[in-house]
Amino acid sequence: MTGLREALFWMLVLCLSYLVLVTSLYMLQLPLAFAEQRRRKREREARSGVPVRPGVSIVVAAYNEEATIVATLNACLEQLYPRFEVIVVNDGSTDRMMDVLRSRFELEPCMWHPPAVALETRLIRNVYRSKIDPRIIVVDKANGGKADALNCGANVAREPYVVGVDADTVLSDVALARGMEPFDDPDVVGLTSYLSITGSPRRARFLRGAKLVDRSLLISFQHLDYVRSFHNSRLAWSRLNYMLCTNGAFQIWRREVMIELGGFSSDFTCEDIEFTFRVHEHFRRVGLPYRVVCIPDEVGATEGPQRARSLIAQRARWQRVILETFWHYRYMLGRRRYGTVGLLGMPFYLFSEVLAPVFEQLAIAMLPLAVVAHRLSWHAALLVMGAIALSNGVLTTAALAIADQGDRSYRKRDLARLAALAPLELFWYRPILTWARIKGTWGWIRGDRGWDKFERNVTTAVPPASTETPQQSRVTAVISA
Amino acid sequence: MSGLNGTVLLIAVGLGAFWLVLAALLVGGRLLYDVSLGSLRTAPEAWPVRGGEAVPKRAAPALFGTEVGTLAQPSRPAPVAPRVPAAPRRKPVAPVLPARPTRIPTPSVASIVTTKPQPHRSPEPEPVPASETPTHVAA
Repeated sequence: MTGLREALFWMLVLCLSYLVLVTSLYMLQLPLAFAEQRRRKREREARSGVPVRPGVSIVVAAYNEEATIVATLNACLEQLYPRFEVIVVNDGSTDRMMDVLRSRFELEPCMWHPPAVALETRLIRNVYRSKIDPRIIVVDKANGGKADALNCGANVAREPYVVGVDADTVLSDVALARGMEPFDDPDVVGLTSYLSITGSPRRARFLRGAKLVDRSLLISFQHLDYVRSFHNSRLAWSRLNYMLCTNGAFQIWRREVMIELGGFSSDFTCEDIEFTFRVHEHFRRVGLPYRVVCIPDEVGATEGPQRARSLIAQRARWQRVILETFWHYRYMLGRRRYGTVGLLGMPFYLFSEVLAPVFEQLAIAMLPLAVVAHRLSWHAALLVMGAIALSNGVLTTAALAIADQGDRSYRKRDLARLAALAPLELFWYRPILTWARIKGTWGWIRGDRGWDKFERNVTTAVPPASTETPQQSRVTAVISA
Repeated sequence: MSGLNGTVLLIAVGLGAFWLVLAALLVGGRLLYDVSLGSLRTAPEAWPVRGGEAVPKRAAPALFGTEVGTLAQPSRPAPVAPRVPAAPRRKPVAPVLPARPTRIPTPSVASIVTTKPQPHRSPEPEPVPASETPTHVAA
């Protein structure tokens, strides 16, 4: 019995040591993330003259998105960017999405000739162009998954840069202008940026002057999660050139790189992480200079699950793809040939993402067990829980500060509320995530490949009609001010 | 065990104090920033936006041509409300012939005169309840 108690105690010490190690790594990332944020801001302020911007093809991979597609497309068309086209790839939707697109944008069939070097995709049924706005191209193809749809969009794209946008993501009007800035550096081949999360992206778009944070607790915690993930982790990774995960909701790639590397892979549950790993692997292996960067600007809003069940399904999928990708590229771990990716990025991923569900769950389970076994006093257990919660609070609040430094558009009451919520995450939000991660890990072991798309929060197909063009509404705002 | 408690207590208190200071700096810093703009922002959502950042009312600059240079405007307006025609287009009308003496009836002239420019669609959008799908979408 004493042996069991001792084992329990040392197991607890191991789990807590793991948590201290991971928290310390996150703390070390904070100054790097802050420095990266400042650098991007300085670079923007130092820019002078009229920038030369290359053309961009926005590719929206859409499957059964009749509820959100019009708002997404309108936001894409509002871009304050000189040259772009929007390619909507209907990935064999079974809802009325094509009808909505046809009636809203007056589509007419058009000729399309495949390029000489094209990615292999499922059958394209038809290609349409909008009579209202020739920048809109709609590709109707057989269902093949998001990766296949994005590859199809890259084939149709005529511009040198491809922006992958999720169909539930509403871009801000400066998304492309901001996103294309780092491509002034010829070494940059890929980019991702921060997206805010909301229950209804359309609402966030219409009230764009300030970041509106949903009052819903679940969305607020997801918002904090995103802020921490981008303004702590990804910015620091970008600084050290091992940005291992672009965000599928907004990712920009050089088209020639996409084509050369064979496009997104359908063999993985999600395409974004795997492709980022592949880009790192390729360029490190052949020894060419390159950068995959993350910028701190909020380029839009994406829809987050409003129910715990949907959130668990989504995060389980993310955990599964992390494991799939990490396992596939495990040979890069600790290899000098792969530079910071192999020596810093992969080990960090291993500790913070791959092993996290095991240790987090064990740590939570060990504390009450140690108290029951009289190996730890209950007030010591409470203090440990409090310390973990507060360390989370510190990390999240610091990330929030970095986020607010960028555009100063949070409302003060939202800042105060989010900062107050930060330490509570451990008790309300983390258990959900931990369960999702365990579920995802189990799914990976079983070899699941399902997408588990969550039910959209928006149920109406048509956004509120506006009689003003975007330019008119913005000019009106200036005049009224 | 009391030593362990003391250490954990110290860590927890330290982290708590750090978090409180950070939160105070976050909100207080933002308050100072707003004051430094010359006025306290109470409803920033009503403010004009320049490059993703709300700008103070007293110094609202022109939006276009400042943020991303002269390339700021898109090549053409986006169809936010595609059901509203931008401008009613006129049907092509044959050139009007010089009027003949009124005594000689000329049916061709009459048909030209009665041809009025017709907009393709109604310039006024039909009100669409947010919860309903418009009929043309269903069709």
